[in-house]
Amino acid sequence: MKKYLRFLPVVTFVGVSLLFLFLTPGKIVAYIGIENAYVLIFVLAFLGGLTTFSGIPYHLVLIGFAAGGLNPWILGPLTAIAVSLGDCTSYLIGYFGREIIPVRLQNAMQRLSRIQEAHPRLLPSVFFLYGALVPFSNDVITIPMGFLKYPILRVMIPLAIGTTIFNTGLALVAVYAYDWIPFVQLNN
Amino acid sequence: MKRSAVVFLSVIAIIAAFFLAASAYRQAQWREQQHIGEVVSAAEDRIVISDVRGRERTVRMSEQTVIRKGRTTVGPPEVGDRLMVIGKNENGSIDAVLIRILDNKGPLPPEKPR
Repeated sequence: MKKYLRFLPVVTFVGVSLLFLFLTPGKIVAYIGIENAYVLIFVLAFLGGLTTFSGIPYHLVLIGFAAGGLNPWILGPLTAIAVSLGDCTSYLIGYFGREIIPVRLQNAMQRLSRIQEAHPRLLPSVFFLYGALVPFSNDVITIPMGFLKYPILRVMIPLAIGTTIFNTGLALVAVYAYDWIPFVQLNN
Repeated sequence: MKRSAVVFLSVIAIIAAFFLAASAYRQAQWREQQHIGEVVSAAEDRIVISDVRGRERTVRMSEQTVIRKGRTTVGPPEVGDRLMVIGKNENGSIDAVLIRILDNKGPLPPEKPR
């Protein structure tokens, strides 16, 4: 039984992500019975961070809310906090999921620890830059760092600050430069 | 590399490819279906919403359209309501599946861009 329990976090994570894959935007927004727009986007961004890839593309929701008249200076930090809280689950997946990884791969990944030990300030700077510049899922960072048992706050704080900068910039672009930048344009 | 490591990496690659494809599909779905703005005119079966740039879109409502405010189902939106509409854009107007009326509390939007 204990042998199978180690798969539980990973199976739960993939299961929740699959569940969201089959929920349409209409169903998700209908289920969340929240009237306040800022609380609504906080919950949507949290769910976006909670699920990997197939969940809620919260960047698009952020663009929609910013273009819809909400304050971009509030939306950026708010969504960054929400998505970072959601991303903590993927850190835990890496943390507890290392037991199901073959030993050879564990050894290969452990080499990353040596880089971290040699340059202790390097990784937080990399996390910050990733959050501030790269529009992909933060799980790319949090899962391997969980695996390496890198301290969670040293991962999440620089990543959250970087994500705040990225999200605020994106919300401002949605308000002031929407017509000039094709990738933020929604089909409506 | 050991066979178990190759199998493990292959499984991870397949799962990642599946979720990436699903992600692209979900992005397209949300991009097409979400519309947020303020009601500037309202009739029995349609409303016009405006976003922060002043761009207006017509939203068609039918008997199947669900209109929610918080957890309760409510009547048609009124002028001045801020809302989130989920529905497809057909021939320039949106066929609403769901309308979620949001409150107007919270920080004011920034000055409208020119």
